[in-house]
Amino acid sequence: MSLCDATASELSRLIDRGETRPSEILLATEERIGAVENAIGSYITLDLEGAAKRANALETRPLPSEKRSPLWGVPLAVKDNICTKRLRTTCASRMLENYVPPYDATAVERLEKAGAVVVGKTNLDEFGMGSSTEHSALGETRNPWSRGRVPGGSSGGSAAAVAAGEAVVALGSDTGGSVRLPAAFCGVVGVRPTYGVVSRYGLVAFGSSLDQVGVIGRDARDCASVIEAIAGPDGRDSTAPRAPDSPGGRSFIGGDLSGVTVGVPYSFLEEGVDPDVRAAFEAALEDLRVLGVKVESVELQDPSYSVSTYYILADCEASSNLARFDGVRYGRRSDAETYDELVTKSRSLFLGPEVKRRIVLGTFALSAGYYDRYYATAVRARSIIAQDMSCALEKTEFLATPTAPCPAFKMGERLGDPLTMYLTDVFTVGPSLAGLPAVSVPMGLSRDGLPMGLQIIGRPFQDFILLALADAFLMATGHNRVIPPIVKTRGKGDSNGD
Amino acid sequence: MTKDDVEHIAALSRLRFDESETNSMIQDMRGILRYIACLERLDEVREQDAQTGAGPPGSAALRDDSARTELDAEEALAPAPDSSEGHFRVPKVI
Repeated sequence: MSLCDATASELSRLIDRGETRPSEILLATEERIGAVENAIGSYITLDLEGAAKRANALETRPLPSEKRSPLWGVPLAVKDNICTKRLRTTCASRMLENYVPPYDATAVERLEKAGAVVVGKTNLDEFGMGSSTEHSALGETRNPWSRGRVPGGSSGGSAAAVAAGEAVVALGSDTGGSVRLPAAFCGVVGVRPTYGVVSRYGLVAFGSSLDQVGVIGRDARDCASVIEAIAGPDGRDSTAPRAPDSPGGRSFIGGDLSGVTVGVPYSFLEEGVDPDVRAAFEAALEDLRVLGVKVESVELQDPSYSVSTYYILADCEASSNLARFDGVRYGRRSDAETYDELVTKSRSLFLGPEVKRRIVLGTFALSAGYYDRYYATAVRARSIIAQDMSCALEKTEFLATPTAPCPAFKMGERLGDPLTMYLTDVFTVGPSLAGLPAVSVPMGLSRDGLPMGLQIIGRPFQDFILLALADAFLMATGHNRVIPPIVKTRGKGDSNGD
Repeated sequence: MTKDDVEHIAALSRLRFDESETNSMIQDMRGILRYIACLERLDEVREQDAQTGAGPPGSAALRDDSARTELDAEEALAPAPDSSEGHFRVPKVI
């Protein structure tokens, strides 16, 4: 196994024993990028030169192991809607194709302080709007498990990079499922933390009451290490009040899970769920039972309400947030004689079709005569959905669903049908609306050899306890230890196979 | 959702669509609005339980009101498509 296929905690142990060092780990990652990036396309911008300088700088100032974060020297990929000083941040939009932020996002700043090495910026659906990464204006990302299929979205580049060994951990962002869905499609772990535990300073805004910086890794422990590094109050984001609760005595790692309860809304599975996903989900529940978990049935509102509520609220907020892309302060500008013409022409030319669709829907739902019918109704529905999930989480400690109703779909299959694309998020939007922490962990492969994800939802601020349960599941099943075929072939220097 | 609606919303959004974009926007919007109409059922059934108010649970955090160094004007203007003498520059407005 190459160093770039290890977890951060494994690399940390190797560094402790003097068996490797940051520049060697980076070199292995660079070799992997060289072998697979052309076939997958995880990155919009690579900064291998900057990464090499950073790795060397770490080595010239070595720290004693007790002072080192488990992320010290670990290659990190950053979704390209998270600002990096002096490294362009495009949001996969032609509008921001040449935008170089004058500051780092808080999450990036904190990870670099912990010693992580930024390798590059990953592809996404433009401004985070999509479920397949096909809405990127700056390139195509393919699923490392099957190149004819999408990696999921919107953090598709981050998930593909971690799955293919092009980074060890990655930052993503999750508004309605944008970390969990690509994690499920690419066979890696993806966490959406509780709303308010990670600062969004430097995350380009989409739907501000929903957006969260999220984490993608190969196991739950690496994700916990990243959250530990980035969480906590930040004077530059008033919506990030505090870090998650400490797991205390409930760190299940290697421990007994008896007494832990997981609620399952079985009605969600009645229609529209792929048979392979359903079978894998049932098997995952059985694995949890074997570990001592008590699985109970819970009733939740039909998920179609969550999808509708989500798309109204997220798009209303997007229509407002994206008003800033006017060709004046940043981004590209179209030539025009008047100011009004400049704004309209710049936005019409440089924003992509899905972004325009969202802006139109959001503007419509907020416009005179329609506000009460759509926006105000969605706000009320959101409180009903949040109360509903909160009541369920009083009865059981966690909730579980499949992350997505299907494995990764074929490239182009849903591109012409926005509603079908939106329904990919049917299970992930609920926790987003309720501000709850949720993780997607691999739960095995479909008959076509495609990964599928188990979503576990926790109580607010119980992110580390949620990850401890995810860790116990993965340790018992090993579902996160399966490597995509492209790594087995191209990763060993065979450029013919994938 | 009609052609007039899309043109009105496009003007509010500072976007311009050609005819084929307008037509596909009408079709997409009709499908999406038909789907999200299900919310009206939820609201009627459970209106008495609903609490209005935007935003997720949790309180906002306030920081001390103290001066600190952030971006200076030159850094803030660097990504602008056009600037001059410390200001963003746009075509004549009035």
